[in-house]
Amino acid sequence: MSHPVENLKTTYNLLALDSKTADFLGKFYVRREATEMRELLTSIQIKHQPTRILFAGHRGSGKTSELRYLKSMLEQEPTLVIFVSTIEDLNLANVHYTEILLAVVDNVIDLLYDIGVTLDGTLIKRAEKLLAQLAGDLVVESTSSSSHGYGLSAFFKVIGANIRRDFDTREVLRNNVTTIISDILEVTNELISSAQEQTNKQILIIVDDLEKVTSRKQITEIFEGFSLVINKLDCHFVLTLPTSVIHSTETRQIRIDYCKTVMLPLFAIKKPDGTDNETEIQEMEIIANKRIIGNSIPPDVLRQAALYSGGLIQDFLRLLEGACLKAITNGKYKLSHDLLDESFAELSNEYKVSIEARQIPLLKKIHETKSADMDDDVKQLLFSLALLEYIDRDSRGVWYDLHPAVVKAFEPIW
Amino acid sequence: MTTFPLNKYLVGTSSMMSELILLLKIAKHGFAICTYSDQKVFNFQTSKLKEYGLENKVLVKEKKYEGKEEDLIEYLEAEKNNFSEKIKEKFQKWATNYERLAFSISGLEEKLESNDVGRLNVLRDYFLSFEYFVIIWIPDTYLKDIPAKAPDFWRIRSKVFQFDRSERHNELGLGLLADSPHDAQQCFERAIYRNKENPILCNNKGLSLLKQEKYDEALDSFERAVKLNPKSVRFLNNYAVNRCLLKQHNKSIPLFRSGVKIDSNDPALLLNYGLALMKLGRFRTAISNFNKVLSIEPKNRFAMLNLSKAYFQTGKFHRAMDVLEKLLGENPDYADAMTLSGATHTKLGNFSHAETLLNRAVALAPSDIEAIYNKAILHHKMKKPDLALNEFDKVLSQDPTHADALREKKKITRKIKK
Repeated sequence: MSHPVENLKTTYNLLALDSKTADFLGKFYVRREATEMRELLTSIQIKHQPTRILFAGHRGSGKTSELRYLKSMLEQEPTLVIFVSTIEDLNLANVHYTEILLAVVDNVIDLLYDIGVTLDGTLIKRAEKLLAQLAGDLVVESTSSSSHGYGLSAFFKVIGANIRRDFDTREVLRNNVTTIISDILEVTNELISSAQEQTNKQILIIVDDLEKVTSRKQITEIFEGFSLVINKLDCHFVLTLPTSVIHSTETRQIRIDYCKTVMLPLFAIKKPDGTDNETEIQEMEIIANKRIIGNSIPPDVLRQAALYSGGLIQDFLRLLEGACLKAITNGKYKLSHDLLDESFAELSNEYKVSIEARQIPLLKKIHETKSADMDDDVKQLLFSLALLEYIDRDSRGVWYDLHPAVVKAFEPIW
Repeated sequence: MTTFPLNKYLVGTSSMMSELILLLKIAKHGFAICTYSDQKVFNFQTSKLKEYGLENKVLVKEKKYEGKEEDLIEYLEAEKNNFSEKIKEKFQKWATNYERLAFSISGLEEKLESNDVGRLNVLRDYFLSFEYFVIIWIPDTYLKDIPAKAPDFWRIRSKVFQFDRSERHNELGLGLLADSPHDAQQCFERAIYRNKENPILCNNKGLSLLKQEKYDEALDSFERAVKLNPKSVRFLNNYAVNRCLLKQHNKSIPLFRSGVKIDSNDPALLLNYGLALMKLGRFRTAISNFNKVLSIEPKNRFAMLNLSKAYFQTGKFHRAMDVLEKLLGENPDYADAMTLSGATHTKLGNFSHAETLLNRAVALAPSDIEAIYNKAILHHKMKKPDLALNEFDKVLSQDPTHADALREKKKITRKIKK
């Protein structure tokens, strides 16, 4: 049996584990009971026509984990899943929808290569011509194009590097893409159709991490631009976006352009009447228990951490990580309430700095009424996670409350 | 005699810097954001980081960000490779001094000034995938901007430490606590002046006062710490021990009880509670406390010693012997256990065994009054009054008020006279 301190150290590292790690799904993922996730899966499984879904949720609510699970489930069916991470693929902060389109095409070509699809000679020629037009005056080192057309992939890698290099190159590429966008879409559709015909599988493209890139305004612009493109591509799409954007009036038309909006609900650890919601607390505990070694975190402390997190899985794990660190520093073998409270006090300070003094009366009002009018302040609070949106599992009604760390910070002064 | 030696029973408080260092040691990778209130704090904390890093075999490389993240990433990658090469080659100095590498980066606030905050998220993802720990220093004047403009960078998957002058004084105080408790007290007072609502600082001030044996003054500090955080087992424990040091064992009991209600598995708390109960003659509950400690830490030698003491004092000598044999089996040179074992053998009439043990105990700790006193008792039982008197004199030369020695000596002298 390992020493309790070693258990605590391992627990710390498992709590900090990224959902993108290779063995995450097999070892640590816990399937969410939320109906929304089952609906998302079913809507892709049953629909033959391309479907476009907006997948919304608070940052840190577990969207990426759910999408990785969705990918693994669909790959067992006749579906090819392409996962595009805006940050990993583009390495860009100020992203434009044309660059997302290029990243999508790049990933489609990679998929064709991986599954060994043979491309028609005419299609390769058309694609190469298109790429030459796309490059325009940019100096792109020539890449040997193979007879299967996989030289296209190398070309895209060079373009990707150019996008990352400097602002001027990005501007040129954006303009070039906009000019020949209908040709790009046509060729991409032919590439998709080659893959679908030869494998007899449908294609789903998941675009993740968009909300991590820019401000709310820029996200709106991306979705506006991309909605024009997405409707012309013959495959399924799932795009992630933050809850605060869903409520924006500017995005109402965009939401209509997409077939469906699926909200990944937070764990509603409290009911609107303030009583504890045992089912959801237990679900959170199960997630943490997969990562806890030995008895380093007592059940009552785990439960309290779930309540302090407001149902936000990322904060739940961070609170426990912080308390683990304090326990080891203090020579303890397991977590206790006072260590968790210290960790919670730190979290509360982190939230405190994101609130402006003029917003305090609004916080009080929301906390008392459990409702919010979607003005700019409220959207900002949603964006910074000071305000959380909950969906009641039975009535499907939406209600709002402050993050418990915000309540701790401001309740004494309002 | 039951005592409360400070270093063993008080529960200290870690500083933010010690948590950060621990993070560098145990976290496989990741990043921490450290905010600082002014340049003095930054200089102090970064030098501490390097110093503690070296003590913990972590090489902390400092780098000021100079405007291009590509340059920063290239630098990190190059230093990473350099480190792995040196470790692979096992240069003598490297192999003994360093096991891990960490980076301390400052100047990233330029991104916020240039309104290119989104790039912080890109760097964040790079830091998260980088195989060594990265610490980012940002002046706290940017605290308003970061959560609003780069919320992912600020809070998602990063650990935040907020260093200010109060924390600097706390850190300085902790460094002085062992050798110069008076100076440490002044540091904690300065820290409290800047942050009156921090119970850790009050607790630390209490600790520095106890080290100076200013038990009455310490009470106020611990009381304040407990008031500010009534759920802290550490503060309750220290407050209760303070009461015990003032011989107010009765007043310590409610504090220990509150602590146990919060955490019934805290070994230090249970041990101290047990000692206080022994002082009040409540041996049964004390025994149950020591047994609980041993169920959590089966090799806790202090719990074993006090458990056997409790058995000894309630006349359960065979039980005491069982525990002591186990204790001495695992700690053959534990003088206190040897003394108690000698005393128990004396009670059981195994004089030769007792003599061997007590002689060894005195050899290990020649000035230990308990061992000499028990040797005197043994001589008395073995009907060697002259030797016994000689040992009692040794005890009384060290502690002329030792009540038991005075009483026993009087008895023997009277007998000899008769």
